[in-house]
Amino acid sequence: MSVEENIRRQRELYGEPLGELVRRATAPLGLTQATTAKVLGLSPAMLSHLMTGQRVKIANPIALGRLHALIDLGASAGELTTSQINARLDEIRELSSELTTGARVMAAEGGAVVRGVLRAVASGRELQQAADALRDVAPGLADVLRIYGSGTDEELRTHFASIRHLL
Amino acid sequence: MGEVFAGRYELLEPIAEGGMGAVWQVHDRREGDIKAAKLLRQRDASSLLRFIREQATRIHHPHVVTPLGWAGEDDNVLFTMPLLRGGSVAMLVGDYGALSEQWVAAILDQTLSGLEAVHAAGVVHRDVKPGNLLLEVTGAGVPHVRLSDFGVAVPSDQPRLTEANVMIGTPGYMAPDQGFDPDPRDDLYATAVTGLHLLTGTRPPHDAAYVPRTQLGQLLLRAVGEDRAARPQSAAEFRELLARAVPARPWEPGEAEVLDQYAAGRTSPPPPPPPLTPRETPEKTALRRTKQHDDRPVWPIVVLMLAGILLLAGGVFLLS
Repeated sequence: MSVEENIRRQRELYGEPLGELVRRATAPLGLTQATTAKVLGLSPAMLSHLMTGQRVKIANPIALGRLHALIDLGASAGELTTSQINARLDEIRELSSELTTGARVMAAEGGAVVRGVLRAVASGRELQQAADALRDVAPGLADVLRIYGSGTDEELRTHFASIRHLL
Repeated sequence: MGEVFAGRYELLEPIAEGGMGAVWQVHDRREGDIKAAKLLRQRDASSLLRFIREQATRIHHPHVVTPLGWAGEDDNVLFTMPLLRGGSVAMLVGDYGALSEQWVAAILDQTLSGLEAVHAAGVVHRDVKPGNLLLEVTGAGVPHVRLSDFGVAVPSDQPRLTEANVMIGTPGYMAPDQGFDPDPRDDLYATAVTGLHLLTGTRPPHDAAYVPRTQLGQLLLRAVGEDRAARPQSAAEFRELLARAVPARPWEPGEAEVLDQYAAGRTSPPPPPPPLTPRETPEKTALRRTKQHDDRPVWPIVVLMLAGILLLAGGVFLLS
């Protein structure tokens, strides 16, 4: 099948050729093609084949879900800080999908759960005092109490993203 | 031009980062080809010992990646392996999601065939997972898998290099009842989890409710079940059960194919050095380009001759 025919079918399936779609989403985020492949969970060769019309369809529904999320992120890139974008990219990479329906499900927001637990058992002031008391004994733990107890949402997301690979 | 290691291996691009070191694509200037090379990051004695042991684990088998050679420079070491251009099974499942039973059965059978040889050599791999199963470029044909990364593998008859109370492996692929002593059956458990990953397209943990109710699905669930005695006890037994669960039939690739991950860009050997003549008018540049093109076929011949000389030298060395 010719590349022209493939690109025509991509336009039918996705609204526009995948090359244009991916470039439009990733340009404002400053992503290279190699990084884009990692975020989408596609191999570099597969992404290249899709973007040049050597292949029509994204076969993995999870990767398609990630592409949708990446397009959304690209569209709102102007309003976000670099660290917010990076945290969101990490989330997209982690995005998992329900098997039977192909519906997309967000990865559990782990940081919010930790915050909920801390706030359920202690007041903001107690968390602050506990963080101070622990500063010398266990600085990592003190950070967790401070960030998850009283930090901003952005601090929380950044911290959670930074330790996610250890979980 | 990338950094050149030991005057021979030009580092091109990183392929993967591992716990024990990084794997790079390198251009072997002596043999003129592209290889994969693992570079040691930590330089303490035990890492070095493990590194040497890994490169010495040479199991020659069609479904195992065998190290080629090693080189050292100051306090850095690397060893080379053939570059498998098809990428890993993890990439395959990333590209296509859940694979058909025929693909899964072929990948598992070849992995188990490699493990038979590994276990027969008295080694436990301890890190079987899709990312460590590498592929030859076979397109839509029957895949060809090679088991790779013996970085945490242990020979049962040599002193252990990891602390006695440390369990090694990748979470999710390790048996929950895995002991501290390496057991070949732990590799079989990890192979079964890998099978479930390929069959469902999702990473572990796997919910039995989402595993297809086929003979293959049942076999893999039994192989990761709580009843240790009901799991396959050897790679050979696992292969037999697999052959019964997925009877052989003519290959139907479906839409999946193993692509060449190194087809484009910087992965080809660097072009021959430019001629010393200064750059001139566009017309002459065009002429020069044609000339270069004519020169090109000489390169493979030089490379082949070099390879031949090396082979001869190797033969003489072995004979003497």
